[in-house]
Amino acid sequence: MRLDTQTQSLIVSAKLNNEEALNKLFAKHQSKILRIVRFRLSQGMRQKLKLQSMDIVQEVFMYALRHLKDFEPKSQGHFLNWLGKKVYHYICDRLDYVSRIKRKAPGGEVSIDEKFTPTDETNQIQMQIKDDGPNPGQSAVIKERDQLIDSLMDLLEPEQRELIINRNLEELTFKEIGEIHEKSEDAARKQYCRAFKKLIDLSEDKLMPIIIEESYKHL
Amino acid sequence: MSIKFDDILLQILDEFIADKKVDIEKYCKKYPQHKDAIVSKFLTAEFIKKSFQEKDLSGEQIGDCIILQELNRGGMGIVFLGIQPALSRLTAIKVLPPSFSNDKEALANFQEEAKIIAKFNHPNIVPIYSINNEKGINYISMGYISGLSLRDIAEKLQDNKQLHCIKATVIKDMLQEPFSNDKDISQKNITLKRDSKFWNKSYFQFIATIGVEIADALSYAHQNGISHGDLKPSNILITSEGIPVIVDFGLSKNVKKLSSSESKEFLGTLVYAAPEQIKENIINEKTDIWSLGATLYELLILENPFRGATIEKTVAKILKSCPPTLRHYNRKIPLELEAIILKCLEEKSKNRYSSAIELSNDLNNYLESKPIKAKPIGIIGRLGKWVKRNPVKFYLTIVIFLSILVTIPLSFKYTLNKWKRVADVFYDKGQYDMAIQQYNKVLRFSPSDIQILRYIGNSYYYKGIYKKALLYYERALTIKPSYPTLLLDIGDVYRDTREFDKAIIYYKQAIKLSPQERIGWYYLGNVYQGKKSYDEAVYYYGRAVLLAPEDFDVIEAMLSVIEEEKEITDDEEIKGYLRSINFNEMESYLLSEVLKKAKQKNR
Repeated sequence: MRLDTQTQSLIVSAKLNNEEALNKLFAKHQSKILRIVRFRLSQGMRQKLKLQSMDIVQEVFMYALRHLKDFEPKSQGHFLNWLGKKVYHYICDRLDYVSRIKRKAPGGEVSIDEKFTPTDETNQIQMQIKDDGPNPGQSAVIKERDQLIDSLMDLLEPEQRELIINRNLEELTFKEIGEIHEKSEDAARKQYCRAFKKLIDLSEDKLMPIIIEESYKHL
Repeated sequence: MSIKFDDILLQILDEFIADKKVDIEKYCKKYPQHKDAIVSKFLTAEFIKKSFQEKDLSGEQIGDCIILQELNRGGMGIVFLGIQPALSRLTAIKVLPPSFSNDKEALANFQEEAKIIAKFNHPNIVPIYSINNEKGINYISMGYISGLSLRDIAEKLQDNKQLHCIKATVIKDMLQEPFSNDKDISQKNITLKRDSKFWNKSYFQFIATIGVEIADALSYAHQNGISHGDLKPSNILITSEGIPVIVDFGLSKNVKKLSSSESKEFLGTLVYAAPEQIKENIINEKTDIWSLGATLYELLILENPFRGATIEKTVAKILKSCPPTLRHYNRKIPLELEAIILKCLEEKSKNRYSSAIELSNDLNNYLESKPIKAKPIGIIGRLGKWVKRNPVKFYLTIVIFLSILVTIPLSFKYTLNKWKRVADVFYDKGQYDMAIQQYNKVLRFSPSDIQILRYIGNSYYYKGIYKKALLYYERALTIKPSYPTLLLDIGDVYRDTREFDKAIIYYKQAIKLSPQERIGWYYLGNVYQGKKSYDEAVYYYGRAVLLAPEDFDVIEAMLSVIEEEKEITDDEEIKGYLRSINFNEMESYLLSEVLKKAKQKNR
């Protein structure tokens, strides 16, 4: 899938040191990227990080977008995959950092939500996170459904989970997935097909009540 | 043979993941024993897929419209096909994606777009019906254009390498194809019809005609103070009747507002953006003209001239603003059409068309075979553009060319000098045959080298082959007639062959050119002595002595003629004799003194 016009324009501006464009790129992709990262993290790590309310989102994105200059997106999927991986690595480093603080702390406990001391570099650019979420009612439904999908994704093998992320969230083509996993396009498509089938098999029972309920609403 | 359910499911999923429309009923009929399982798995698959996507609005009612299906996703919104049941009218509904619904800036852009388009009433600009906010969803309801975008058309033509051979009917056939997304939708919105002759146009004329109509629409917008700002093939839809309609004024700004805008963010689609749009975020009618030029260019060669492997390379190509000429890709593209499009893509906006209507008129002129305003690019212009596009290649070529220009003569000169030096060695050693052979090698590459001709002549002279010697001397003389040494050489040949009169002529010419050179006088004395004209011989010897009073050979020769042939031995008599043969008093005195000393020395 080609890079959409707005993302492409924003990347051009961001590469030309336009801070506002960075903010917009962040606003445009934050929800999707955080979802990608959430899927990649194990259940334990997810709970530890409390991503839904995390206060380091801004820093995470700044870290990733600071590397934008060295990156040349080929497609929408390529960009999301790159950004997702940057954010994922940052979060892993952050968890490692927090664990070490916990071990070193005299009392032995430091809250994960404790303010992270930013580096000079991250201090330089202050981003404003835009509140672009849905209303509280919609939010609750979406959150519940997301959590259900999260738990179902956890049941997949890591390789299968990665394929689902690549295809459904990062919107990579099978050719691109094949390149990432060093497989042929056809092999990538077949493996994805099996992963998706497994996800269906695992989730059919849990999802069917919701599906039926939604079908009634439309009648 | 029974087939496993897992295999059936994989077969269904294979279609499903390829985003094909899965005919689930077909599978249910084919495998009735698995009917329930097929439906259940398929619904789960659809649910999972949707849960990864933004909220699906299909079937939802917004205002007086029911959303039917998603048509397109752009940077600023998702376009749905909707229907207004009360009016039995199809509409295109542009909805901000949920992640933007609370973004005030995005919202403002969205509303601005709607207000701008709402002002327009033009057959080539998509009409707007309403702007609304409902259930927290912001949307614009606008005219639904059932057709293909110019981008779709360009993609469908990609495999056609001979655009000059196709007629507009090929496009008509594409436009008549049932669209996969809306095959069951009537095309009520299309009111304008084309004359049947229209479809007989060539592909190039078709593009020019489309260009005229788009330029007219842009002109209309510009006259209303609005620029599009993001014109490109995917923003121009072609109805089934071949009418172009401009959509997505999403980035357009009021020209007056724009002039005071402080936003530094680049707006638009990179490969269709003008240099000033990228550098200074300027959007005006000139940038729209550029974008239309880039669009028409792309349609004529099915390739964007500015698309680079990276964003940086694309930006650099645009800023350099020197696309290859269209005829570089296809010689069949009319010269006038190329000139018009390249005028739209001039780097300096002042060099482009001053207005969209001017562009429209020029395209019309081309279509009606009238003179156009844009000047067709000539060979020098093409070369200039090539140089601008490939400065490295150009400078490299120049350097290589200059190097060749300098190196070849240098190496050639070096070789000639080497042969010359070898010949000189043979000459100095008296090996004249070898010298002649070597000099002739040099002469082949340097036929007018007088020295070489002379040395060959000398070699033959020393060998006693006078005729050959004369040939070379005379050849040299035709090149440089006033060369005293050469005249002396010829004189020598005639002297040795005892053709004294001829020798005298050449020696005298040499003396005339170089009177201070004593050798000419001496040889002339020699010749006269040979002719037994002793007075003349003494006179010319005397002249040589006056120039070189220390040259004993000349003095001896003079003295011998005076004493032996003229039989004058007394010093005073000699002085008197000298006066008698045209020496003045002073010369006679000097000469007699020199001869006196010589006589004493001899004794």
